[in-house]
Amino acid sequence: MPVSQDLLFAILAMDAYNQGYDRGLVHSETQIGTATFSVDDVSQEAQSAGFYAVAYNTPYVKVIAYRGTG
Amino acid sequence: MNKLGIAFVLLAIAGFAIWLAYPIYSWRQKLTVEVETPQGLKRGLSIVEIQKFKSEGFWVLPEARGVSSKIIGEAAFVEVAPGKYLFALLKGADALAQNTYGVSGSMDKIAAYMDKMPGAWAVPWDYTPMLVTFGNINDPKTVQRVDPDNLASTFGAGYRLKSVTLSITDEPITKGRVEKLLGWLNESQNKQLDGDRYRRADAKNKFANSLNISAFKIGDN
Repeated sequence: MPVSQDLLFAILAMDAYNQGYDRGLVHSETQIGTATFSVDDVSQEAQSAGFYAVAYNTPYVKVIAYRGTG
Repeated sequence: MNKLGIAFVLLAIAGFAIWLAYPIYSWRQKLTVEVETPQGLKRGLSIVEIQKFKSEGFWVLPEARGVSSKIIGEAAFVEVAPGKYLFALLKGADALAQNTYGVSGSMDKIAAYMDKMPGAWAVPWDYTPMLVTFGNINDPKTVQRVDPDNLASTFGAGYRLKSVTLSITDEPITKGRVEKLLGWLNESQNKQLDGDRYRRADAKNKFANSLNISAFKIGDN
């Protein structure tokens, strides 16, 4: 069953915590539903700042998801 | 009590509250890698510090509660042949002791285990750190993954990973060895090993693009 755009975006917002460094849930998926991993930032600079952002290609738009501050 | 005394007491209370809300657990772990080679047994090690930060308490937002980790140190490496090096990367080092000793549960329980773990334990094969080498040690783009079950496919006949062991130690963190060996390390900050600023799904050299210097050296080292 296809998921709605809103649900997909919510899943991607959650997946930002499961990609990159210090992941909550360790998976190696680059395909999340109809979205695909595109680019992320795992540099030391980003890690030192506690920042993580990831971009996904989706059938709708390019989505950038980032973690909140810890 | 004068103003200075009151300020000191308030600071002490604030410090105690922060300690209660954000307890820190830390230990040092020594990773030793042994490789059988046609020239005999070669060994390399590194000592890294693992710090675990627990956020809890009613004053911590629910979504901010949990345990986060910090690794301080550098990767272990072995010179398996003149000019040929095998690196055991830092990726996953923060969970390696837990996985080696098979301990789970609360952070207090895990930290108590670390305090009394004697001797070296074999790291379970499934948790063997990622192993890599370089086609050209001076060129980060030439990084190659090494199969722990088949070192011979990378280094040639007669090479075999004999053991990977972990022990808890009071010895100082090893410093500067990887930096000395990988002269490009400091020039490659904030870049992936293929030179790109970001990890990309469409990277040409996917493996080099998947790694950066934090796999070799991380923290206040």
